[in-house]
Amino acid sequence: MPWSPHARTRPARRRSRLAAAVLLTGALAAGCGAIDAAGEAAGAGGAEEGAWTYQDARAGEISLPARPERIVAHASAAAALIPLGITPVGIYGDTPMEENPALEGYDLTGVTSVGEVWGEVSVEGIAELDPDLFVTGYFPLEEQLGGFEADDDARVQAIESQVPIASVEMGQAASATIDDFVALAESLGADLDAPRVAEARAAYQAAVAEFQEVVADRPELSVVATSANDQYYYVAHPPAFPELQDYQEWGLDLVGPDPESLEDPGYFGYVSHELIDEYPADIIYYDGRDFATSAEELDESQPAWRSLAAVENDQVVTWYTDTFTSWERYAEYLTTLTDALRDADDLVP
Amino acid sequence: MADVLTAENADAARVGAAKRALRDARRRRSARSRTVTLLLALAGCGAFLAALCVGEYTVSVPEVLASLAGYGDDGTDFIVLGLRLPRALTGVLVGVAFGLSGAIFQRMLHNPLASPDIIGISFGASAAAVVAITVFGLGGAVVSGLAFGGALACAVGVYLLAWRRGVGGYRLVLVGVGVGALLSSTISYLLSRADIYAAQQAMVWLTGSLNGVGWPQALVPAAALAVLLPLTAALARPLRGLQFGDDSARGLGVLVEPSRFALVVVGVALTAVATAAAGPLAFVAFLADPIARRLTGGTALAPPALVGALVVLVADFTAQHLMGGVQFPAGVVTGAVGAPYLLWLMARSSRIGRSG
Amino acid sequence: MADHTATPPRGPAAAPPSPRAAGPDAPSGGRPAGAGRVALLVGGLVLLAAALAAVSVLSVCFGARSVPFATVVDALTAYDPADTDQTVVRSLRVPRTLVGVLAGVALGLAGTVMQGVTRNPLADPGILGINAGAALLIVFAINVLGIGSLSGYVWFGFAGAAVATFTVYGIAAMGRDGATPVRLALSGAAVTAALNSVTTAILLTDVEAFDAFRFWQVGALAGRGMDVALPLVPFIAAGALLALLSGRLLNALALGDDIAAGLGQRVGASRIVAGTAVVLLCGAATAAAGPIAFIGLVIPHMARAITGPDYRWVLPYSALLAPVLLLGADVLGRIIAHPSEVQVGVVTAAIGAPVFVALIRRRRLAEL
Repeated sequence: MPWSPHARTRPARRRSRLAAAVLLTGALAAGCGAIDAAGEAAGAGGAEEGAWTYQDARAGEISLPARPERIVAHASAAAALIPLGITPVGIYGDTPMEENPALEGYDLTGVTSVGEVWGEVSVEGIAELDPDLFVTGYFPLEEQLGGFEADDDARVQAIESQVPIASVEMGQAASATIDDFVALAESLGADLDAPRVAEARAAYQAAVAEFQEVVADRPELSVVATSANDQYYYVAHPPAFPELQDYQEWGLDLVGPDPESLEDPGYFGYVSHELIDEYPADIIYYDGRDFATSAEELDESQPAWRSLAAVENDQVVTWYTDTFTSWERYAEYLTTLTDALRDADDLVP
Repeated sequence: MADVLTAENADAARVGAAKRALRDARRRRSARSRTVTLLLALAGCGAFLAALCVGEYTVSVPEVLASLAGYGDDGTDFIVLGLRLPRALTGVLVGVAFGLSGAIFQRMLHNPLASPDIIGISFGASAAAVVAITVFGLGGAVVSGLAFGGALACAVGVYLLAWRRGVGGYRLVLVGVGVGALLSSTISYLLSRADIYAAQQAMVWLTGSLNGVGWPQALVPAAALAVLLPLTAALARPLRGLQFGDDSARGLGVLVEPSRFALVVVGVALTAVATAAAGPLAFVAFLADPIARRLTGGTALAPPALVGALVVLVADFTAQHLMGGVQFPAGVVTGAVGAPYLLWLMARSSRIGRSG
Repeated sequence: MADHTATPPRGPAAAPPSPRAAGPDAPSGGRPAGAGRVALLVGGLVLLAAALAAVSVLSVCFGARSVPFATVVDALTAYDPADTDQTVVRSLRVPRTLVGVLAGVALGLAGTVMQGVTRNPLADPGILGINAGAALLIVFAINVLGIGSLSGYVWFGFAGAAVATFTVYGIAAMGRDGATPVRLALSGAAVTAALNSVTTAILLTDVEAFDAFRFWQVGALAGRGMDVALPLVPFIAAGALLALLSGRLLNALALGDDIAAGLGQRVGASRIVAGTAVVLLCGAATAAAGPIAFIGLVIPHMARAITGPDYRWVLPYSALLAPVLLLGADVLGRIIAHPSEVQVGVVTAAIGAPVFVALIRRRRLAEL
């Protein structure tokens, strides 16, 4: 109850800090004079880092008087930043934070969840965290920020009135997105020479080199990335998936759907289970997301799937798309595929 | 002769007694209706105030009132006036619009299933929005605009398809159900063909939410209702006539077809405005009038409007603060808030079987 | 004026009995049910049965994959598991055809019984809470119990449909007047509203459940194997038997509760028998194929357009018309979107809606 005695125990300090934030951002929006003044003030104060600037995917250059410390991030951005040593104070996403596969295995103590249903980001919850920066992905084709309908969304405007939004371009090759996140993390003070980070980077670089080597050794092998449920078999359109773009770039022969069968936005070609053998390949890179029918279930329920050469020869590799935003995860999944390629039989003439 | 006179007198006395009884009953009912309306209005004000007070920051009632009066501090003003007030206001407007449009259709067509969210109109808005989201990858205000257009286009289509030397109420309902079923299966199809994330986005829209409503979004329904509420009030009398069937309406001097046309236009406009502002908000239009009539027993239009507003406010409050820490869109809760109450009213009373 | 409010006029939902139905034994109005008319109606049934057989053959022969007729015959008589063509026929087309026939019969009969019992021409499985109940328990099974396959959650769908329907009926029957049509319709829609809230709350936080749900919700026969089809047979057979035997009951109920009671029908008991049939039929069909609402809604109107209001004819006609339409729509859906498919629920709506609207415009509908 708002009029209960507890209401009074809320520290007034928080609210005044928020008010200051509102005033400050209001001043930032008001005109360049204010920005200059703030920048000079930061410089004159002899701050160690000085002003912070970032080349944003959506809005051009962002400048702040000081390097942001308190960050609120979309779950997939958080999955990129945490392994680099930048842990946000708040995370929003479209599943409960603890159940998000992209964040699995990371220490989330002290992180507040500020949105667990698509679109239901808590603007007040973000205000309460009093962040310096809001980080999410930007999808240029859809003109959408990760987790929002459009960037004219009232939520985006309300958040932007409190805290600057920094976005990283999504939809490009996964390796490029990781590079962008690394650059952002570095500007936020991440130590790229920290043992864990350096190790992950080395493992990733080795995995990529090995992948390219094996692919060059086995040019006869082809791979198809697929998914399925009770009604459809789906064939992935490689340019639509950041990690598949990389694989193609690195020389892999990826089978894609007939472009005519693609619908906007063109992630998958929809195929009837009756035509499951129309996309033959030596290895099936099969969707491992929770909601796709699992390969084991297909083994049980779909005799036509069982009759595919790759399935008969046990050349099915699990594909976890949406989780390729950090070096360590990327290296792990890439190595699994590399191993399968090295040992695969050439089944399709 | 004397016997006859006595008998006539007795008859007259009986008729007089019956008339008195009826008058008393009417008076009792209208007194009850007034009381219930007042209570609904008070409950609505309470829910509105709670929406302004409660959140990540709890703001006390005096602080809220100070903010509203223009004496708040900047932080409180941002929370109360910038975030919560437009949201709560939109909740009230949308609830009123849904409640009224439901009452108009259910009463005019004598069928509790004739509310705009069961016959086609809401589906027109939803189908347009889902096409916009899943096929064209749109979002924000564009989707709202298209939803508005979809509701209107669908209503015009239903009206024209049902037109045959006048629109029989019965035919209108059936055509509406047919078109609605077609559109809802189109929606299901689009959801099954869309990328899972676009489908999720569409699902949130289909649920209906007040999250992300700011002042620009609140002003549109406010302006629309400023026009539509007086029109609805003006149509209250013909609506009361049509409630008793076309023939009785004619007997009461109501122009049946023009009145029905005007009522359809206003009802559709109310639905379209509300749906564009907050999404379809499941079942508010369906629930408001049956609940209101069980509470008041009358035919006034204020009670369903107030019930609609109350359901939306309570649902949004519940969805934001009482769902175990997860914020849900309000549409998740509208059904859960209103429906059990209606079921309870039904189980308690036995009169309702006959009321439509 | 205000006096009327306590007893508003009876609208279509509680319309006076159709003047064309004079009594349960002379339902075709003044016209005696002559031998010629009976022969005509029986002939129609035979024709429909032949049509159903023909559509079933088409359903086994046609699909996204072109399989020669001889191979189809081989698949059925001398199955060779190494031949993918034959595997497709055996493992995909035969079971979905069976599910199509079962679901069609079930939905056609259930829609007719439901419209008769509730005397509401808008009644379809959705109205009694069946879709909402099935959806909630299916989503619950996926979200809480982690059951991922259709053959696993089909029983939850069935149970949910049954519980929802009994709840709807129970609440509607609580008042002094019993489960009148309007009370049934109201309580059905209200229960649907309440259940949908919970379903939506789960769907919004669980992508896995949402993904399975969106494919169930559209209404489809694809991907239904024998493990889904066969266990449903006894339930649908029992429900169909009950429904086909309830023609006389429905004829009496069509005259209104008071007249039906006057004719010696036990109104409450009749409703329970009919309701049981609906639960068995709709619960099974909806659990297996998803909410294919249009069949249950349109088929009774189509059947009545052919036979007139006598439920003893409307029921068998519905039972045969519905699977013909359902399977025909499914075959069409497989052909038009090659190499993909359009789900049967979408095709039935696309065919059903114009037919339904034309029907409403063309004739003076027998107001139920």
